[in-house]
Amino acid sequence: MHPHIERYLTQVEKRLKSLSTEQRSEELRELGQHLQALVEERQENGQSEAEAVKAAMRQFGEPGRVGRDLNEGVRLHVQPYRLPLSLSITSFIIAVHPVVALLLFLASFLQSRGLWDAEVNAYGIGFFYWNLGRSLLNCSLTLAAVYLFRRLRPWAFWMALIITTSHTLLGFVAFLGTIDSLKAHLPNVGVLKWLALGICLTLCLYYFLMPLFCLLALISNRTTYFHLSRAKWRTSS
Amino acid sequence: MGRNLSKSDIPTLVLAVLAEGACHGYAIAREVERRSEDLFRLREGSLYPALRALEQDNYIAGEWETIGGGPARKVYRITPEGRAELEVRVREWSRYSQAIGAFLGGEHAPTH
Repeated sequence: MHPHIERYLTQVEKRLKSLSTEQRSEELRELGQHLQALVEERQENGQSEAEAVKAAMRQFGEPGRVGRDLNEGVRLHVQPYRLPLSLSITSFIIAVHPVVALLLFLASFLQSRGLWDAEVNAYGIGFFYWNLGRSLLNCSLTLAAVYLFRRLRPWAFWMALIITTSHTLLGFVAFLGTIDSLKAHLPNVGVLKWLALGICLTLCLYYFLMPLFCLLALISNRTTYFHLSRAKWRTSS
Repeated sequence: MGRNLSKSDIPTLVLAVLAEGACHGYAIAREVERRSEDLFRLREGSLYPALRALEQDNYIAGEWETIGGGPARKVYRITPEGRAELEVRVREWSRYSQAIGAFLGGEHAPTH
């Protein structure tokens, strides 16, 4: 292979950071063969080797850009789940644990002072925690699947859609129900009342918005699903 | 005079070429130029990211094959999902070009 082509491929290789050694070697082999074919075609048309190599590399494009585009395409496929999964799990940890702990503390504190007329029930808190955790776990798995697979299989899509829709509706109902029960059980002290209201509403809004966001991500993953289904049906009939 | 293809057009043209038969990357690029009568000029380096994306979407499948005793080359074939996707894209392009044609062919058509 011409030294300039080797140098070109070295420049491309520098950008292929997301690829394994074997993948990198395959890509460079394919690109090298294509470049070589371009050079031979130009030489057959009467160009000298040096001119043909220069023209072939120009026709191929800037090596950094070629490498970046290749790397970007593979990176999105290989590691698409990291960001949404990380965000989901981080959101879960940030939103649920300290908030639930704060609610528990606040309710116990207020109850001990006679300012909270509802009974702080550990089972109630646990049940709420479990429901929220279940919804967020579903959201994490859904987001991971949506980004891991460019086109979800129909059965996976419909199953995730049903579960996520039910969580969205449950979250909305819980949100409305929480507002009602807060009106009846709010502590009597002014600032604490608003603090408790704010925390509960934020948590319930989160309980509703997270699955809604996942629902939208699911639908966007499969927006061509119905077109493809109809195309397949027409082809087979 | 050739026109450079935009990145969004390349996958559709690749699917159209592969729908006629299996090809390696260099042959795909030459076929695009031949069919467009040299109107489209493919920046060859942008072909491979498009091929990777199509492979990842399972619209094409690539395999290393030895042809005629020469060195092994990666040959691409369109999949059934790729054919369905090509149908969708052809329909969308047809609607788009009809709309442009109607727009240009009406009262707004140039008179000189």
